[in-house]
Amino acid sequence: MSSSQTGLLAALALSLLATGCPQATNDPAATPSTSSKAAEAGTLVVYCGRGEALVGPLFKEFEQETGISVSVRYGKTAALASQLLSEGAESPADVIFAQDSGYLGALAKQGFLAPLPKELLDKVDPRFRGEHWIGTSGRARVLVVSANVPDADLPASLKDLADPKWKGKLGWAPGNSSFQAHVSYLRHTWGEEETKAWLEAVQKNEPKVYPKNSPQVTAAIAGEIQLGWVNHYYLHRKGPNPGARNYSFKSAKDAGNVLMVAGLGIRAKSSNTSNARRLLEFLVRKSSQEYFARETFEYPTVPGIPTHTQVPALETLGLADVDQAHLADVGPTLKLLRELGLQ
Amino acid sequence: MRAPPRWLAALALVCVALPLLPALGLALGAAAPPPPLFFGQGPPSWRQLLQSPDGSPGPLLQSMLLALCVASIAIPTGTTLAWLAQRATYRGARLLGLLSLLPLAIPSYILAGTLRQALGPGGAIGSRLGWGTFQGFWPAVLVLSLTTAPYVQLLVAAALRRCGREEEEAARSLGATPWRAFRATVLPRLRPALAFSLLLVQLYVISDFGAVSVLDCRVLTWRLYQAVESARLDIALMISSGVMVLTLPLLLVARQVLGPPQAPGTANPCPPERSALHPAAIGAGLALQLGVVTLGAVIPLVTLLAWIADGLSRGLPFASLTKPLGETLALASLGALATVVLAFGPAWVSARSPGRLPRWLERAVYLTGGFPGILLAFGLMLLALHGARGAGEPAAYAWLLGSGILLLLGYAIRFLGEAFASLRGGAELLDPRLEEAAASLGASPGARFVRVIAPQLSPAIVVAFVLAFAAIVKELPVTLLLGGPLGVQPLSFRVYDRYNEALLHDAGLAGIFVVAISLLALALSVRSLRTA
Repeated sequence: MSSSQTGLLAALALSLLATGCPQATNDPAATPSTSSKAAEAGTLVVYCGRGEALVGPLFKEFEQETGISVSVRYGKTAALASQLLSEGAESPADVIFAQDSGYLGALAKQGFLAPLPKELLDKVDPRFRGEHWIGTSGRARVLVVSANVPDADLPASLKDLADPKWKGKLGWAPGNSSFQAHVSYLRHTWGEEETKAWLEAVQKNEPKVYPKNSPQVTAAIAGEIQLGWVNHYYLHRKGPNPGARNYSFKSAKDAGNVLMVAGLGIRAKSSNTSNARRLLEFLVRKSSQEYFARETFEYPTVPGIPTHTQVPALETLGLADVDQAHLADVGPTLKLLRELGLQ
Repeated sequence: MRAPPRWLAALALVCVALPLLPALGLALGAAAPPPPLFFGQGPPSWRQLLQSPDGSPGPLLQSMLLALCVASIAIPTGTTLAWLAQRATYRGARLLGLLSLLPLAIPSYILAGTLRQALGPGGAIGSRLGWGTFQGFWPAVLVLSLTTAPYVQLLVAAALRRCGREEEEAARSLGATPWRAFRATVLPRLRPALAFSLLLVQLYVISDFGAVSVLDCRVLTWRLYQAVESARLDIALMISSGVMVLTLPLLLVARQVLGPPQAPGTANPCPPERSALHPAAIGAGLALQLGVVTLGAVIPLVTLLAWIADGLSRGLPFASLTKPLGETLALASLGALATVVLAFGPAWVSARSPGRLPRWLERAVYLTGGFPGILLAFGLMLLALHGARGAGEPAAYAWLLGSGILLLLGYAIRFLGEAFASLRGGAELLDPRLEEAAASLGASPGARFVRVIAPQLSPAIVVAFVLAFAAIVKELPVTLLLGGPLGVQPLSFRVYDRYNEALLHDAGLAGIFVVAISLLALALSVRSLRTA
């Protein structure tokens, strides 16, 4: 190696040393420290189980508007929730933003979340909140249907996926948390035995296993599968004419028609609650709720905010009555899925 | 050969003891488990690792088979690629040899995701061939072989380059056939590189998560992520001991392969002559090179570009890349620097010490390489947490995370093996006669290092830095877990985030940048190796 190259490398490394990691070195406000210090500096630490693509712009808007510097740690909801448990009192987190509100229920049960004031709770549809958490947006569990399947052939109920006529034509993602939450709900509404029998029957149809939802949507568009068991919004992200369609089951209150709610809670031991509450209030105000409808194609949880024009209205989905706590009862579900070789 | 000073040996031991930190953290975490988030998953059992509930081989066996299959494909492939690039005479051999390093720049999750789409049913190629779904064990073997073969090619090429033609020519002049001369003079020189390759490939496969998760191949790491994500430290610990069970025998095998110490390399080897090949061999060589380049680089890159083009044609908005780009460059530079610094002591001592110390060092370093990223990051975090609590300074936990110290340490430990292999290889091939000459002319140890050793070692240092740099650009789990508290969201995070959300146009754009940056780094290393 010539000496000029050595120089180049050294210069590169040094320049990056000087400019790199602004949050780590130059900007103490963004460094998560103890909550009390954070409050003085006007910061907020969020553990976020939702994607940056979805909620990043909202955090940015909140920062610009309030001057509060938000440090967001993204990850899978379950991993972040379990981390919160490990960290206990030492956790730098002020707020947890969960992809599935069931986790918020579980954390609240363990005493990790602070109760929320009534005026904040009252802003949200009572179906989509607890005493310690509020829902911000919802996504519907649907089937994504490949273009070559006529409407008349579609199953009337989730149970019909066990029909042998779907052999080799289905997709699902047993490792996905929405799948697991949905099966948890099925266990509570159908009972353990029936849920197990249904899963076994669907297994006989040899569904293609996907690591998560979005590849199923891609697969349905490509014709790799005819039906995929997914959340509704992945399809809408594909643009106006994606080459597949979403389907909610025809029979009213079918166990397949479930709305899953994402939401937030405030860590009980956080001493930064006023900033934390400002974030919660920000996320359920009209403009943020409209953001969820417009940008992420989700269902707003605050009554009176319309959904996206491409998305069917909430009332037309024939939603089942769901206790969000049942969606979080994932432990026995994982055990069941393991027994069936799905985990 | 001069043995390194005692203090350096001690330092090397401290450096390789660092990888024990995450293990300690996990043990502390398991000793004081957090309250479970959910109940009813049942206790962990070893049977689950050996056999799946449906009777198929369990994750432990799957990991073992995967590592074996990948190694038996990647090592011959990589070695042949290295030889073709350097010694074959046909037109394009050298260029294709460079191109066959391209998969090195592509993270396994991108390679797996793009190949899955292109080769699966409904994909541009899969639909024409009428293949079944591209997922599970054999696709994972293909993807991981493509990912690891360039590592083998690089390591073997570096060793080939130090083999002068003198010995080979001497053997030929004594009547040996070309193959026999190669076997007698070159192959023994390649043995350390091959042994390193075997280890790196096996450890890469055992600890990889990207490819196996995208392709749904249920190996140990696949199960491990589930355990960590559902807060089951007990299961995570059981699986990590499974990882160790896989790693330890490898180290014993490596000892056999390594054999007795090698004769020192030549100081200024004459470049060997290229060999004329039989037309059939040329055909086979070309087919291998073209196959690797097509599957490992052309199809993935074209697929990424197709994702971008699809986004453009649909008029979807692209997210700005300024911040992730800057963060990737900063993290990878700092992380690679930390890795080289951490690996230097052990590599030097291992190459130059007599006795058993080098072997222990090696084993410790490679054991580290088998530590999956998620486990390493989780272990370091638990160690910081329990350490801070134990020391009565709970606030230190947030500081360690927030300052980035844990993140850089995580990178350095994660990629210690990569940097070590290159540095040690370089240190082993130093010509002791030059040092002795310098010493006899009265040069001080410092002067000897700067004027004699450093110039000879610099290609190895650059390669070590570049391998670590490229690895960090592509790395995800450590970045996600330990970089999260800094609020950093580099390119790899962008790919992960957007792929998860099915925003393939954004994922494709960030993916192209990941590949481009890794490529630039690689080009720099290839140039430095050439000028050396």
